[in-house]
Amino acid sequence: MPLDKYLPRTVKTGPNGERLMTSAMIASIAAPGQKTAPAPFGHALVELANKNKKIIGMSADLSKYTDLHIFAKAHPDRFYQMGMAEQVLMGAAAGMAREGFTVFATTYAVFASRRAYDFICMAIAEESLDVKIVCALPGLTTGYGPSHQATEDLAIFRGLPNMTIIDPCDALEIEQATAAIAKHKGPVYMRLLRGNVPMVLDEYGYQFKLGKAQMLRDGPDFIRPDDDEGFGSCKRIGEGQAPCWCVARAHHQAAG
Amino acid sequence: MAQTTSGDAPHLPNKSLADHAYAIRRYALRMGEVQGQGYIAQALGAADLLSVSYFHALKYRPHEPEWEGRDRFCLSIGHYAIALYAALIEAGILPENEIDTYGGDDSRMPMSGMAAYTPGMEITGGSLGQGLTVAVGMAMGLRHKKSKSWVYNMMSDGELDEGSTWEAAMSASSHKLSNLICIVDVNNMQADGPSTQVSNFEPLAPKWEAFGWHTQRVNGNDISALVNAFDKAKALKDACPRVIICDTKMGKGVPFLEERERNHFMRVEAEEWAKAIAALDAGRN
Repeated sequence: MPLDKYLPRTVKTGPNGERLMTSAMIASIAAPGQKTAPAPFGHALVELANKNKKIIGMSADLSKYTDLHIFAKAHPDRFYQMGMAEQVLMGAAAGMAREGFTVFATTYAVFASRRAYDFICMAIAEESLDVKIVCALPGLTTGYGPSHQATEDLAIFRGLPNMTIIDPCDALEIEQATAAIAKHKGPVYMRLLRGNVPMVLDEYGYQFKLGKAQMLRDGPDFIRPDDDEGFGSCKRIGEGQAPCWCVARAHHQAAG
Repeated sequence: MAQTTSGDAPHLPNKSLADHAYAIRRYALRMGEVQGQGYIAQALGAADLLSVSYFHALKYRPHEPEWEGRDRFCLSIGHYAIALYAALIEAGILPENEIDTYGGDDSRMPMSGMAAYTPGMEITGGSLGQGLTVAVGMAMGLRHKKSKSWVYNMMSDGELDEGSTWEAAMSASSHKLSNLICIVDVNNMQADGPSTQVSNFEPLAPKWEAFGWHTQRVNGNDISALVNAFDKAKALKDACPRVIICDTKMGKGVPFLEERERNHFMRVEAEEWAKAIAALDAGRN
């Protein structure tokens, strides 16, 4: 039933009297005390770009909110500001890739998936070009409502030809996946957590592998995927008031 | 017309730009006959600007279509592939003897232009309003590589309806892409009727000027005017992208097709194709 917008409201509070709210642009989703790493994508890309001169960064007025500003500061000659225009962001990323560059194009997941889908489909995915679409605010990680909450991005990007899709779960996986997709030939969509990102997998000697799910630890809470391809693994890795579920998803559609 | 070829295009002796335009129209009509339908009126209208592009302005190697030093010609309007194939055949990039495959299964010449299928087809157009966005990226990439190559983007007046065209137009001038030349084919006809009635884009030249482009508007069926416009666009020192708005006539060169009103996706009867080719031949200067 829809909310009746004509009914008056009062402040909602939690069990300790705290005002209930959801943050808007979340700079850190880490719980208090959780170990974090700052801007893992931005720092990883700078590192890669130091060695690989073909790496280009592009954004649609959201470099600061996708951690690409760190790359822009380190490699200003290789950063292209496309303005708040996601269609030309994706089209121009394709054009740059046609000229031999490995392009990291960043925006929010909603704008890449909903607004620029046709451009990603025709100019990037169909042509299997080297464009890495890296997008912040995945799923319900913002309180800004449906305009900013990417709830269908994974579903509709999986409909694209040649597209590799990655949804990293923590700072370590973001760092390692960034290196992996820079090396991978072809288009990639990667979801991104930005700011101070929880660091979880470092305890497990984890190494990200494109297209492979990995068991972190055996145990009673392990949910085994239905097939050997391992399109998802989900396990409970924390205890206490707010158990942390670590979902390491590596959706990888084979090219062609 | 005694216009001879010049500029950067490969030199083909004894053929004027008008000769090349005639050949492009004739190849297009032959492809139309094979398929029995197509965007033939647009192809006939755009033949002169394609002649000037491929036999006066563009730098390329017919036997090395991906030569790094080539100028890039992006066909945003994939629907005009029939016209571009004709130009690519005339330029020696596509073989004439594949004309009969046009639009057929396994052909290198599908009805809508696709980069993966066809030598000389730089991008996959057809989803209208995308070409200029990709051309912007290619122009940025070429400049980044310090290349001297030009990027041409050919689009239709119908594509002026797409918001992405103006995103790209603003981006190109914001990035001062002086190696980018956009050709707008204004034949004032799109799927639902005359373009200016479907969504009025006039006054058009002031729009491009306001977006920061060096703007010229010429008769797109006047070869001398086109040559001058391309030369001027290339000779400019201004740090801005260039647009050449070309007013063209649908069906140009075949009088009975020029006169048809419902000409966006023109119905041409089987026996009319031979008549169209005969009319084209008869009207040749």
